[in-house]
Amino acid sequence: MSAEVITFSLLNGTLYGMLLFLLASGLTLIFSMMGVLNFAHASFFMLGAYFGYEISGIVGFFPALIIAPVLVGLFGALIERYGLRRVHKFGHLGELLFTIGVAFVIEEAIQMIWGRSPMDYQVPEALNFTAFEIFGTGYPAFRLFMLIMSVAIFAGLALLLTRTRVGLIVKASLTHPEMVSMLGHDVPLVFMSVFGVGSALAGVAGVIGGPILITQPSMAAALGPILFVIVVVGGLGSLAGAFIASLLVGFIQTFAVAIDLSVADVFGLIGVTQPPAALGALVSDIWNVSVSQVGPVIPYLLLVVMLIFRPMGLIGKRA
Amino acid sequence: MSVSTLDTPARSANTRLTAALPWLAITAMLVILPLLFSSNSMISTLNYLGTMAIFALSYNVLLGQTGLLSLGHGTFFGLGGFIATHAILHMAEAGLSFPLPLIPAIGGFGALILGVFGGWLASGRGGMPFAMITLGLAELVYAAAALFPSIYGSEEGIAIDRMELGASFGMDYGPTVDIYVIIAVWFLICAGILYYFSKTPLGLLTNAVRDNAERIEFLGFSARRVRMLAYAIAAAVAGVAGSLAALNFEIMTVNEMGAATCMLVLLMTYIGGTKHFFGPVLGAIVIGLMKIWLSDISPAWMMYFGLLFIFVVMVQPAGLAGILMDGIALARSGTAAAQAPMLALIGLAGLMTLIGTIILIELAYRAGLDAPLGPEITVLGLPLNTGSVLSWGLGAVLAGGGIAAMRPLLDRLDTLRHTLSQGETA
Repeated sequence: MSAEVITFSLLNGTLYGMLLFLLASGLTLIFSMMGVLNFAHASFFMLGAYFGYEISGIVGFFPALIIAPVLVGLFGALIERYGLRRVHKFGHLGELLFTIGVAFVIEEAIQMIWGRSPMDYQVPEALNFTAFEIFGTGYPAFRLFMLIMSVAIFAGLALLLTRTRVGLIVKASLTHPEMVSMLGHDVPLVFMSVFGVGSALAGVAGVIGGPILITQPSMAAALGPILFVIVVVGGLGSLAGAFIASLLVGFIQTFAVAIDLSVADVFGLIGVTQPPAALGALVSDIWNVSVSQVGPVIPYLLLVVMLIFRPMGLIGKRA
Repeated sequence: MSVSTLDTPARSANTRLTAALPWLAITAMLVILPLLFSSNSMISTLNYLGTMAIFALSYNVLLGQTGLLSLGHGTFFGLGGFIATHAILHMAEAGLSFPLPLIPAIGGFGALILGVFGGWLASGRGGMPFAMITLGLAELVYAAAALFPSIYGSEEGIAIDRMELGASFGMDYGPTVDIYVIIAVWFLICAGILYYFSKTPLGLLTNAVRDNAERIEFLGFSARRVRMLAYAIAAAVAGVAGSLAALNFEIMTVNEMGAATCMLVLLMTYIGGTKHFFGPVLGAIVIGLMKIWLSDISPAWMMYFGLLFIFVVMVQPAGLAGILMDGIALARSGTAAAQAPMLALIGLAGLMTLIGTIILIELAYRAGLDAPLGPEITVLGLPLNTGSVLSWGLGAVLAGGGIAAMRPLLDRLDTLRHTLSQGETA
């Protein structure tokens, strides 16, 4: 691998990882708060992308970057207030099933409104130029903008949670809801707000991720399982773990795409060019598989390996 | 795991007869159904429903019995199907003669072995982690399947010829009815085994793990092992269902073990009702028929599935079987006549909401996805137009009015039931 490929993969891996963390952070916050994994989280991301596409067509990209996440956040808060809170009495299973139903209906509703084919969601004109050149290849400004946005939101969220009174109340509500409520804070409102903010973060990720990852009805189903891998690998309910796991998955997926090496190449080094026929069809299947083809499998493999050797995740409490 | 205190005293012949009655009724129904609906397409539908019923029953071992939400049960349906197709292909190639009806046993056994391994990975914790781990495992198998075209076929899947293994049991397995016989017999076997399993000490332990896993650990059982065994048994029966699907359609594709299948079995089982043994069968029949018939008449059928699922989750967690049982209990209580007018009003409000919702959804699909078909659409016999405010208004008024009327009506029903029960005790 050349230095050029490594540099670009590092940049893109960080970018993808930060985008994943925008989603995973909201998911983790909601999980540690309600003990429920919001299955519809990736659907909020998709809603963000579609809202972003629709609104930026009317008022332009930058206002849409504000309006679309606010809409998604409001929608999320409503889902919490009138849906999740009602099924709370049926336990976590009921809540999880409810979010699965919501994800299902959102995907259908999006197909109903925007159709089944991908949207023509373009990078905005103002950001459609080359930011800098390294090794003679330009790096698009929009990607740099995405990177800056995600890092800024990450920093803002970290400051909010660790340095402000709001963060204090939220963190206290996670661990000691009764005590916080005793002190006169409206805990259900805190929960609703965190759910709303988490959804809005997914919405932001959708608006800035939409033009790069294709805006289509299957984007939620494609990203959702990866998010769950991140949350489990990082350790359930751990923000720091989610951060590390997001970057890890981001790097794995971008580097895997860049490596064009197959089993045949490896054996070619020692002079074996044909799969030994005696080993059957299975081996000849694997023979031509390259690392980039294995890319989509690696996160799930990581999950399984993690479960075998460290079931609590990277940074997680003991089960 | 011998729990001798659970041994019940010998039952009287009378209770045995009552216990056997549902099974006799089901057997009779399985015999009568193909005689009533003898056309080829109807038999084909029955085959599909039977397969799905077995699949949903297997899922309920996890969801209803052990309280585990698996998001990857479709994997074992698919793997069982692929094991069966490869068994048929290899035996046909080797010129072996093997009775086709026993092929699902091979698929089921293969799925059992894989289920033990999957269960070992997934069953460390219940609840949320279990759901995510099963999702991850299912995605792993699905994503990895693309790397092995010789096992899973590529896009078009692996096709078989079910007649290749030759005739046995007096059938040559060409006609769909022959496959119906196989599926019906396997349905009885699987339902019988699973019902018996739910009464064994291990089956009762799974219930205990669902209700309080920690306490089970204190009693000296391993909750993990109980979950693992439940997972493996569910996987085996799902494998049987997958093999039957392979025999029925004579093809197996990777999509059969994708997220859609995992989702479908969850919908069927939960909508049918997880708290009654035959609830999942009911769900498989209702959802299966909806899938076949509704997809012909409406583009919105998936939307209806989703909304029905949310409705069941929010309002009626006992599912359709729960509604049925409530109805039976009401009829037996002797107060049905006194409650009838109120129930009729509630039914009316529900019907209004339903019709209004259907109108709105059909209009929305015509205005969005199906806009090229023109603005005019007939819903439930009503001529509507996506351009007219009147059409949208009709749907909104019906749906909104129904929902608004429902709350006071339900309150009144509660009051009525309260006074009725007080009258009883007085």
